[in-house]
Amino acid sequence: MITLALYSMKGGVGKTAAAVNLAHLASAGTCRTLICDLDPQGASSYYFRIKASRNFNSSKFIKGGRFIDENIKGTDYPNLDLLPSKLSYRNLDLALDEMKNSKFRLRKIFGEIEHEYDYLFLDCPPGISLVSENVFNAADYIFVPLIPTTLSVMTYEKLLDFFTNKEYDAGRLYAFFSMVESKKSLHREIMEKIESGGHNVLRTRIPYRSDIERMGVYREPVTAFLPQSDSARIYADLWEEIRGITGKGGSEG
Amino acid sequence: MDNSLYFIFEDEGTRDEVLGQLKNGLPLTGDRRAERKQLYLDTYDHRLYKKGLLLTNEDGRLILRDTGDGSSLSLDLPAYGGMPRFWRDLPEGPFRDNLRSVIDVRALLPVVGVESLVNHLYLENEDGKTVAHINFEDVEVDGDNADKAVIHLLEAVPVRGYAGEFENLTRYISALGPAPAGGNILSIALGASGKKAGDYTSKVSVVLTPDMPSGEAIKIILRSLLETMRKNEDGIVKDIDTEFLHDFRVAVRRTRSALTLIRGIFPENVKEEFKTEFAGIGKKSNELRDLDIYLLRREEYTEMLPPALRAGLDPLFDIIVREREEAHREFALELASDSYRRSIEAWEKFLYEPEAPGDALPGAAEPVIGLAKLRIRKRYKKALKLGKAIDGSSSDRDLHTLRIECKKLRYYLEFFESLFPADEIKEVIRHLKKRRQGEHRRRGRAHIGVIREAEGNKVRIPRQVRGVRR
Repeated sequence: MITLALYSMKGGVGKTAAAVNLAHLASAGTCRTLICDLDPQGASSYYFRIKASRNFNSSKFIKGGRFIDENIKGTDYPNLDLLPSKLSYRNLDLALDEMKNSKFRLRKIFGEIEHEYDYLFLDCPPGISLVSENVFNAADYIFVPLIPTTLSVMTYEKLLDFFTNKEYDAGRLYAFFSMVESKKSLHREIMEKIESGGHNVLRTRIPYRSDIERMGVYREPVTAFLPQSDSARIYADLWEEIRGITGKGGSEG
Repeated sequence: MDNSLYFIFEDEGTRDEVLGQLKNGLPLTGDRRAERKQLYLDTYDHRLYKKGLLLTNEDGRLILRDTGDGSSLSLDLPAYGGMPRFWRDLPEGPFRDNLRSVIDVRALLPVVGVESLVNHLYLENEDGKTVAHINFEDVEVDGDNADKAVIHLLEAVPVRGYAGEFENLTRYISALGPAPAGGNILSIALGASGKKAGDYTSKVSVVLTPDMPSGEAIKIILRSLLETMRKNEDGIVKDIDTEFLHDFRVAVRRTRSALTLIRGIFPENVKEEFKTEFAGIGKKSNELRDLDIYLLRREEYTEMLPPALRAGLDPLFDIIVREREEAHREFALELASDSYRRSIEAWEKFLYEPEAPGDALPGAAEPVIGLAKLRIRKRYKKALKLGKAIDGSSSDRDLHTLRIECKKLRYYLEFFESLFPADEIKEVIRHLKKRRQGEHRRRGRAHIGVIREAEGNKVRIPRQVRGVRR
């Protein structure tokens, strides 16, 4: 199983849209795929029209084992499952803090389902917290959507500093531009600056598109409801690029 | 676990009626129609089916479905090159690894072909989320003969995490009339063509009752073994895979073991005559089996050598391949020979034809439970005695004798398995099997290399190889 996290300190940068579409693309190649919605807002659960069971909550989640097994739900797409989040995930930090090896808890519980899936996508909540550190320890790769604005870039640099200070391997960290409006000269300038700055930056840029926004209306991945659209094609490019990085490029599917 | 449930309709009329009622009563969407052509593949002993897996070839795409959790893997076959027979014929990857772990050395064979017209519907909840799938299917099954059977069925497919909804759905369908059919599409299709999925086993599967006369019980055991032999002959001759010969030989060996039970039940000359016959048949297949094993272990043997030297084994294996072809030809001829046919006919006559007065001895009428207990106890005591004598100075020969004795004990336990509590006797059999495998491993370590192991096993070494040795 390859674990891919969609993470950003900032909210509203297109994490969930990327997680949902990439996971849909990953599963279409007959790879067994799971999305784990870690965000108490439950946006990816919403996109797949999935609600968690009434008695599921953050403390059950971090117990792992059968609680995970019983709460994974099949999406409307073959080979694609989702573990929905609950509002109680807002307390995930506190719950984790009480555990032994609190920074490695997610790695442990995902290790238990390692043989069930080929890909695990983590749709992470914004912020930098104990949950984030669990994600950094559990994920093989961390993908950071980056809106090309000064503030976004500053936050990204903070994340890089955090990785250096905490001795996490920043080589697993990849940024990609998200919600890009190429008409804006500021966006263009910032993208050029970052791309020439020696960071891991993916080539594919996700534009700001209304059909991506519309996912909230259709409640489906754009790669499913508009598979021929530009947006779907761009996510497919992004997925190809990611597959190349994770070493599964080309042969599969 | 999540499992499709099938409902079979008597005819199209009932099907249409239920379809109409479902559409009226449930929030169904979709109604997509598709044609599907599938060739089901499995090993001769249906290893995939027994593990809850279904392998199909659909338009040049192999699909391996796990009926347990509904997951699937697929693999596009190259346009040329035909159907893969063994796992090693597939490209490296998860598909091959999964298949290999189940089918092992067995070949894939076509089981049944079906052509279906599928009408696919979804059951949605209030969020518009699909919580179950419903497929109405007209399935045309390829029979052995020209007439094709058509089955009208409904497949209810669960979605993970929506067990309650699925239960409600199947209850709803049942209330409309049709009862759920056991099994899956493969067993249903096979049933329609008059066959049964997973009905072959190389195990002794006889059901005896304690007070059954011993003579009758022994004949039941022997008949089942003969059936196993006969079922495997064709696969040996056609050289489908090495397991046909293996199962055949095990059945022959078990027959010889079962023949030792007939003292006091049938005349001694029956035992002597057929023991010799079966020993002869077994012996004639020894060389082919030995050569099969070398080829099956080719990878293992090759990996014992440092990489630089590995290619040096190729000429040896070329010789073994040629010798094996010859040995196969000889044994296939043996199976087609008059002498083999006469042996089998005489054996069938003994097993199936009513006994003439005086053919059976007084012991034949005694209840089989007494015989079973007595004989198992004797074997057990003998094995125990041999086992106690084993120490650090014991020779390979002593170990071999003990191993054979344990195998005989296991055979007896297997013959009479149905007379004893299942969990207890299965546990004992399992232990004896494990013991035997442990022994094999120890022997493997003691004799490293093809030639030395061959010597240890008193196996005929190819002439050319004997030359190489010096």
